[in-house]
Amino acid sequence: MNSKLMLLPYRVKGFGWAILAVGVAVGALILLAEMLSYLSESTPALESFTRILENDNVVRILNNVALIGSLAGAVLVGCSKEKFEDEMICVIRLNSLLQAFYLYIVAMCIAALFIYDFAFFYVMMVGLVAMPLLFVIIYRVRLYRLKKSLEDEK
Amino acid sequence: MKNRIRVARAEVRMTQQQLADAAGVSRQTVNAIESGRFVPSTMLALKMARIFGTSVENLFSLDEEDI
Repeated sequence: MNSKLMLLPYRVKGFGWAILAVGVAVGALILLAEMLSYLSESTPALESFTRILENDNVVRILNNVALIGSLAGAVLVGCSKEKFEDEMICVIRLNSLLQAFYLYIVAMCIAALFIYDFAFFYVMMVGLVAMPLLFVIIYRVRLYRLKKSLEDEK
Repeated sequence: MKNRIRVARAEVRMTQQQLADAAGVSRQTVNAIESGRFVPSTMLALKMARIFGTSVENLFSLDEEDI
């Protein structure tokens, strides 16, 4: 039986980081602008920042950049081979994915219990990209800790 | 699971990096195996046994709690 994982080549990782950064940055800006749009009525200085949400076409494009950028970036970063790929990296990757799944389920259950009405719309928006992002964060932290533990031993 | 990789490595004066290169894994992996934080696959255990010219049972053994 072939037990090799279907991983992307290492060379896509750099590109993945780039589009992940753009996707997350645009997504964070959209969320920030949405939240500030409630305040902008009383704070004229914020109006210019929240004005980007008035054009439907711009909003659609920004939403797509944020969503596709975050999802594709997370896949390219998390599911591509490391510079030196071996079986321990595979185990760390799969455990990180499992841990992200557990955290995502717990977070969604807590959100369903305590967040209602229109605020839940934001939970759903973040929920679309939360699991892949959690996976990348947990995976990179674990790899960093592994590298650090070896450096500490020197 | 217990292992005596560190001892076997010392017996033949081999560094972690040399063992890692010979087995086709990273030094982090060798270090994690030696410290018991990672249990290698059958394939890697067999490779390591071959590198040291010994049997897998001589390198790896079950703990009381594993039985």
